[in-house]
Amino acid sequence: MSYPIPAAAMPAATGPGRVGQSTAVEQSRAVAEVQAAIYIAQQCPRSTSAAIAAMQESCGHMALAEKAFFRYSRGGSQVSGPTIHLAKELARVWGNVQYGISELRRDDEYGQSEMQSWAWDLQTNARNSNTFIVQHVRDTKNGPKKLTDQRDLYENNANNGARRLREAIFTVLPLWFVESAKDLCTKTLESGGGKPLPERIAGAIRVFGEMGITLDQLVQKLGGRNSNDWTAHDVAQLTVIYKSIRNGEVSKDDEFPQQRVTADELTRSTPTGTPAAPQVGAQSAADDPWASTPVAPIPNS
Amino acid sequence: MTTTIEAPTSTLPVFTGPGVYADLPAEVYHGQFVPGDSLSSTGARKLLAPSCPALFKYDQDHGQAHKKEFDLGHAAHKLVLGEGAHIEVIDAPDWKSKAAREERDAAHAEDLVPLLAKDYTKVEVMADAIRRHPLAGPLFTPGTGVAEQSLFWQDQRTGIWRRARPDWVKNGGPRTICVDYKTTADASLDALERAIYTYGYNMQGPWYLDGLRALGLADENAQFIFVFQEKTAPYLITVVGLDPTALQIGAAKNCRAIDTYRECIETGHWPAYLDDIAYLSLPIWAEKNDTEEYL
Repeated sequence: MSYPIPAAAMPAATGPGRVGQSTAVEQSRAVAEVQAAIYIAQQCPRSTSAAIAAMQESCGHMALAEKAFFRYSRGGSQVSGPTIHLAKELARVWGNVQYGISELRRDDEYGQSEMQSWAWDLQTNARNSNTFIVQHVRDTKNGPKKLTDQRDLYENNANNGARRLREAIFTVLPLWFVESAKDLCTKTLESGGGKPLPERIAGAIRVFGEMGITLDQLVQKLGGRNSNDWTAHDVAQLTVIYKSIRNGEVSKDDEFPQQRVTADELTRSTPTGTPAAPQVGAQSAADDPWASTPVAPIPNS
Repeated sequence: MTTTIEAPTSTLPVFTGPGVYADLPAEVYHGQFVPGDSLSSTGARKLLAPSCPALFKYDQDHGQAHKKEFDLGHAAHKLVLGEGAHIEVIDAPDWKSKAAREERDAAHAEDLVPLLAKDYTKVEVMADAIRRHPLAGPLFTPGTGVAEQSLFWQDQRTGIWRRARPDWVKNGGPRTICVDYKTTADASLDALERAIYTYGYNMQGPWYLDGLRALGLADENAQFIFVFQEKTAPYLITVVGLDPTALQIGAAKNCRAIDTYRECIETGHWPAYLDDIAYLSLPIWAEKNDTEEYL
């Protein structure tokens, strides 16, 4: 049984009245390109061992390893995972994989874009595609903020699309391939490209210092351990955090909450120059406990 | 017999826009000082569950009923901070006599804080305990901070007027520290954790810091702390800061309250707990007990 949808409830999408010559050529070319890609993928299948070797080489470079992980804050805890940069590199070395993001429709009136991300293993025909809606808003500390600037919209759509594309690519790649790549990138970060550990620790303290993050905050972040006791893994974590702050994926305050108020801060007597006592009317001694002698305690009533 | 501790001031300032209003009487601050009214942190908490906008609206229209506990708290603020509503000591053993009650009501009518003599002595001892406390004593030293400033600013996102009256702002050090002094029945850590959740105290810090920042009185490094003091001897004191998650949740609840307030003003509808029919189940523990017993 079917249920007719009233025309008023679902208006037909308006399209161009005619298809131009160059559009027609492009349509034919796109069909031929897909057919050719599938044909070539079948004729030239990937070599798994060559793909593994290429992956190992890529993940051994600091340039990729440093971009391989993201961090962001959600509900007070940090979420981390592999980035779109790692996904694209793995798709490249795996071979015969196509992927993309498309903005299907933009609706300024409703403040949303309909988008699609997809990844396709042409050799195995494993394909993943997601159609999703991106609201033209940015979440801020004071609630969602509506976006209207074209550049903001482009970046918002690109960011949201990249996250879905990352998942689409990882879906068509074998899990073991992705996990091996993540392990290798972590090892590369830990080895720091061959630089001695004390030098890397000093470098981390310096670059965070330039961001206004103190050594005390880094120590607090790493469980209160002194910088002499930091491991290669700790420095690798700090590298990911540093990159994520630089990329705006996570804020400084999320990763490094402000230093707690100390007893010394409360008791330090620094006059503000603004008197705290009331200025209007005469005050009796009983009204200002600071001026009076201590009052003897009385039994609770 | 009554003793007036301090005569109230008579000149009232006029609202001239966003800013800091020093020496603004409490009753003016809590009233409709801003034309069209403004939202306070207490109001924001009243708008959200377990309260509801209808209760907020009722309090806004009728004012909050006077409670003995409030009078004690106001008096403690007056003696500790040197600011606040003026105290009228009523020389009676309790509120049982008609004369004492009449004096109390008359004091309330004049925006004074009526206090029995024995309660006044108690509040003096509380203030003395604060002065002797190793953290709170130096913190509240006159001249190191500013008490009870009234802040009024417009919310950047929604345009509604917001207000705050921080008990104490210490700004001589490397960063501004905003302090709220509260009297409580139990200042143990467990009890305070519950109270902070129950009364939404984690909304207060972000609210006050929003005001200080909006008016250029503090930067992003400013911090907020509470000084809790028990209302019974030996009047123990606990100084409390909140962790980032509690503050983040508080800020999010403030956003929700501001949106609710704006919606209620725009629609003129101040909903009660629920507009629809509520279908309820028994509490989980009761359902479990009774299922085993009767089903």
